[in-house]
Amino acid sequence: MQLKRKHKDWMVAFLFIAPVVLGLYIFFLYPMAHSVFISFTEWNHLNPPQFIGLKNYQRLFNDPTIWLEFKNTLFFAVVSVPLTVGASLFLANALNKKHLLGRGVFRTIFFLPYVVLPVITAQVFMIVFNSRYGLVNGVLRLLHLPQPMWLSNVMLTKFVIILVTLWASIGYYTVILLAGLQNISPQYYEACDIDGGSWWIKFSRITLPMVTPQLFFCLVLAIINSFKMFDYIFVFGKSNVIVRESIRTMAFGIYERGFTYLEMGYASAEAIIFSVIVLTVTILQNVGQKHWVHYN
Amino acid sequence: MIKIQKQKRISVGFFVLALVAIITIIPFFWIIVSSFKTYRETVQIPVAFFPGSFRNLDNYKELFERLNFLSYYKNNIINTIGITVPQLFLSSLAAYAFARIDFPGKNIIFMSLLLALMIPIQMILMPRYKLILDMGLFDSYLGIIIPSIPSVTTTFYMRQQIMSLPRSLDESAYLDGAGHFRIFWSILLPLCNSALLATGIMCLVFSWNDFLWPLVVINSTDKYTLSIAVANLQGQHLTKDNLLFAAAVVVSLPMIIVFIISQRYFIEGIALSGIKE
Repeated sequence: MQLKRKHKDWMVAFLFIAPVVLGLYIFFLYPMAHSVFISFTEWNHLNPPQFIGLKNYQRLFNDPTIWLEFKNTLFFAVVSVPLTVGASLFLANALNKKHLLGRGVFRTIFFLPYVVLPVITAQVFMIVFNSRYGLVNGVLRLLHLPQPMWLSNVMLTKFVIILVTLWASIGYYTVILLAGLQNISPQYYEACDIDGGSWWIKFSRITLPMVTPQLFFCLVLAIINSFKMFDYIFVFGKSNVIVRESIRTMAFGIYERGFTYLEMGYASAEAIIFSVIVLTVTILQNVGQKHWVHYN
Repeated sequence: MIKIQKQKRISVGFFVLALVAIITIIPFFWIIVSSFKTYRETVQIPVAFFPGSFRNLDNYKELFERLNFLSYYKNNIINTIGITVPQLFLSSLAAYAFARIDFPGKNIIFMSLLLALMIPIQMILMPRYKLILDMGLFDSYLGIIIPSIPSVTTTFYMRQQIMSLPRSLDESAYLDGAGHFRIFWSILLPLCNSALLATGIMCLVFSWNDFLWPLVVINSTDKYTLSIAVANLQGQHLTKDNLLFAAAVVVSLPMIIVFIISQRYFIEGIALSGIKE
């Protein structure tokens, strides 16, 4: 009787998990394995794939465009991740005051950009930073300040894209960090007050160590999101070929090679390299977290 | 003396926050104001900070005349609901099994799902596209919806949620011979309402904003999502910036309203995601 019920339980469990597990295997894990295979072929998705060994990878390492994409991908991650997470920590810390007027309103405003379609955000920022009739240069002109050609200069365009990511995602990370800060018991701060600890002591000895689990989560997420950033690059590059060729990232390159130039094999090889980089960074972060993240 | 200092510090923080809030809100303000401008006012130098008249609805009229916005809306709603509702149900169902039933291979299967969590979408773009093609789902709503339903994150959250409920709740029902589905559906799931709402809203925003996958799957104009339609707006030479502002208002407003109404659950959903197992 007991055993019978146990076996029936197993059946039920498998039935319950089947849709999600099979779905993930079919639409995530199987394609993952399949993309390794495609990366060894030449395939324009009209004819059957031709096996060509490691040729895609050889080509990849000698392709200056891919090197540029690699460098741009790293650049965006290195600049925008510390900036976004740092600014979010600052905002979260400022919001985490007991008697702060209008905390809910601030939180709402900071989060608002997150719900706007990224495609809209990118286009609006392109108009706002238009060198002739954009809002930013309009204000700079009123103040008699220099008005740069934001979207004609590669560095400035990248700067604008970083601002876009900051504007769009700061609220998201702020909410996560704020939740972490609110978990810190006020007793720690009271004890610090009695000892006459300064603002900096409180932040570096209490706040920062206690919020490391959320900080770690935000860093992992921000890096992955930065690597995967596609929508902004797509929109910013769409109207101007020169801009597109200078800001392209790997995530964009994979899409373009696969679906515009129909080089599925080559695109898959880039996708594999890309994923290896993403996985390596994630694993390194997980290994490194032991040294600075405190769970209690 | 100490009291005065404390109040002062709070007000400094307040002003910094207010400044950041103003900067954050400026693009929204600019979108709304500019959506009423004529083309001439939009590209005018020096910049016109306000439109000649706030009653100029020409941009909105032209937008709806030139683009079939209502049908893009409809497509977005179909896709978003088609993803969110099954995702919540199936993820919770799986989460229940992972949290409450002992079955062979449970840990291995659960760990294998972690792998799916770590794969960047770019890695599976091409094979998944081929899969959709072979399944005959290319250029269809189902081609967007079906691969987006299974979700590791939603399953994880719901598992966490169910694990946090006391076991005594379902044990007595189990001993009375209630089936697992009954326990799941009538006892545990109703207790997960706010978690369902929180994860559901996150899923809603994610599928509403998704761009890359629909871009790969959808070909015909009448199945375009809002993202694709807006991105294409830019490619056309006829497109004027003032029209884009009107589009931005029309496209963003519903999500902003959803957000403002259900803020609590949004914030909860995100805060939840930061709390690790």
